[in-house]
Amino acid sequence: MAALDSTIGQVISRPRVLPRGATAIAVGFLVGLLVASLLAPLVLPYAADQQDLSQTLLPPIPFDGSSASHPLGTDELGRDMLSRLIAGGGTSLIVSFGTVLIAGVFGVALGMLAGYVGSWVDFGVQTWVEVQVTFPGMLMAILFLALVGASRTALIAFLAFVGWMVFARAARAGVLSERRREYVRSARAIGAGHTRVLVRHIGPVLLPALGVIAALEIAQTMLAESALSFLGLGVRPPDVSWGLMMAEGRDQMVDAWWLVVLPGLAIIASVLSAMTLAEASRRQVQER
Amino acid sequence: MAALTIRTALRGACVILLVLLAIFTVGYVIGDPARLAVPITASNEQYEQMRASLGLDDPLATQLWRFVEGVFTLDLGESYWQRRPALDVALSYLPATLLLVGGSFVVALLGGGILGVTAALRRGTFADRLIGWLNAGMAAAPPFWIGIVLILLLAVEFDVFPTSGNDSLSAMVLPVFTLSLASIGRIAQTVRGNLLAEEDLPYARMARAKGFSRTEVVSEHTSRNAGVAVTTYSLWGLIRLLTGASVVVEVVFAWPGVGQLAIEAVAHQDFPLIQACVVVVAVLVVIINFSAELLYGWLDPRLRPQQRVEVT
Repeated sequence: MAALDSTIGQVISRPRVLPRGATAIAVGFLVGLLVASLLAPLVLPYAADQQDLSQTLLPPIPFDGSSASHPLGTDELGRDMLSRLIAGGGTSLIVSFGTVLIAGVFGVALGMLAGYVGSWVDFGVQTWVEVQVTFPGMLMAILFLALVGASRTALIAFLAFVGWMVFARAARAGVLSERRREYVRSARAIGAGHTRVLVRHIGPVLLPALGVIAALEIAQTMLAESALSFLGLGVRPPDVSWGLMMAEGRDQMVDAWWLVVLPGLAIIASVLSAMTLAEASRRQVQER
Repeated sequence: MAALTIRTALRGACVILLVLLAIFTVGYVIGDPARLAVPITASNEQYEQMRASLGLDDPLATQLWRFVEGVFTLDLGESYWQRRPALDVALSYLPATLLLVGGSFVVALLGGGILGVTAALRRGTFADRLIGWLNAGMAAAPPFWIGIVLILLLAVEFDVFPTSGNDSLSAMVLPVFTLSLASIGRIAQTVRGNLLAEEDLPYARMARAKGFSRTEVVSEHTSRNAGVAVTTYSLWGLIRLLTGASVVVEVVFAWPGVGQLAIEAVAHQDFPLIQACVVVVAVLVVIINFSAELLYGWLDPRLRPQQRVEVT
């Protein structure tokens, strides 16, 4: 596991020390967000894009002029902030999980292939990874999304395209350290094919470490989604995104701070949750 | 060292070629500059005319050749919006970006260094944990949100700093601080991790056993070795700032840099200018990456090729 440990160890930014109960809170927050975004259309009285021009710019509840029917206030078009925040959470989850799923499957497949086959395949994949790591991500995103047209699908496609390398590196390192092990040789000796060895024997060994990386990548993708949506290159109206909400609320931020502060807090909470999950699962992996 | 230089330079050239290929693929094969250039209300005829005038009806190979030729003759077309060569426009916005990113990098190195060393010296104490949480918080907060909140608090509410622009020193404080936050936490964690890893090595334990205090061991022994990894890592952090967070920070603070220019070029449907911005930043990234690898090889001879010591 040495190679895998170093891969996880290098991975950036996660809370080093977890306060007691942090994992439970993190899981609770993400699951709660998922459930809320699924149930919101059925339960909440207002749709995320439902305007009410007689109820614009209401502040959240403890502040003067707030209304009990809009606990977190309303925006410049009288849309309910609570409904919009939950809808933005749904977007964040779809984009980040979708991206990480695609990037993960692609990167792991390529990385395992490179590590297992070696020779020119390995060289090719390694070079590709090295080159793509130095891509000017945000500016390529601007070029790509401006030309292809900003949408949730284009966003996922782009983020997956710039996010698969970390999976490829980890999978390659993992396969390299595993492929000469006894169990792999035994499997080969009793007649298992290469694909079967990779998928059924080596794969499960790498999975926990890859899960840690996936959790960290989910956090990074949430941040990237919000940044691109903030710039007007990600999710477009009528879809809701936390980054987009901040961009829309920027003009009114002096009179209505909650339009930008609340979506930002939502992003921080979700990103921290994903990072906490990553750290908690890393410990599980390394303690074994 | 010469072998390393050549190898790194070759790889840098590869990266630039592949970035150009990616721009071309995105720009001409997947995307459609003509669709971007005509107004949404344009008729089909106007659109076809635009395609023809941009040369998009030519075979792809011809377009690729024209694109490569343009890059090597430093001619990336004329900006539709500013009516000047796009590359000139992009380059004229580069100094502001360099100032912002460079300034933030220095602040992040200082801040991250101080936090990282403090955490390493006080490993396991409350201060260490606090710095750990701080780092995580800085990594989790979107830079544009921090920028907006700082504007709300310090520019609007208390009027300490101006909200935008880059014409005075006080106007630089908020953007530079905001952007540096995107990097401080990571640098601090790298410093701490590398210092602690060095501390377990025999030479550092020997120094401790001979009676040096932990502070002395850090300042005289381990910091130099840890510094090698930190230097390279920070330069990659610099690249990350340049290609990521700097764009949103420039937009939030109306900082006249390449990132904000690219976003405005999108608003003006100015394809040549977007392309020029991407090329300028890509070349800059390759140059920084090139210097980082050379620096690493210079600082740590073990990483140079052909310096293999045969053990018999």
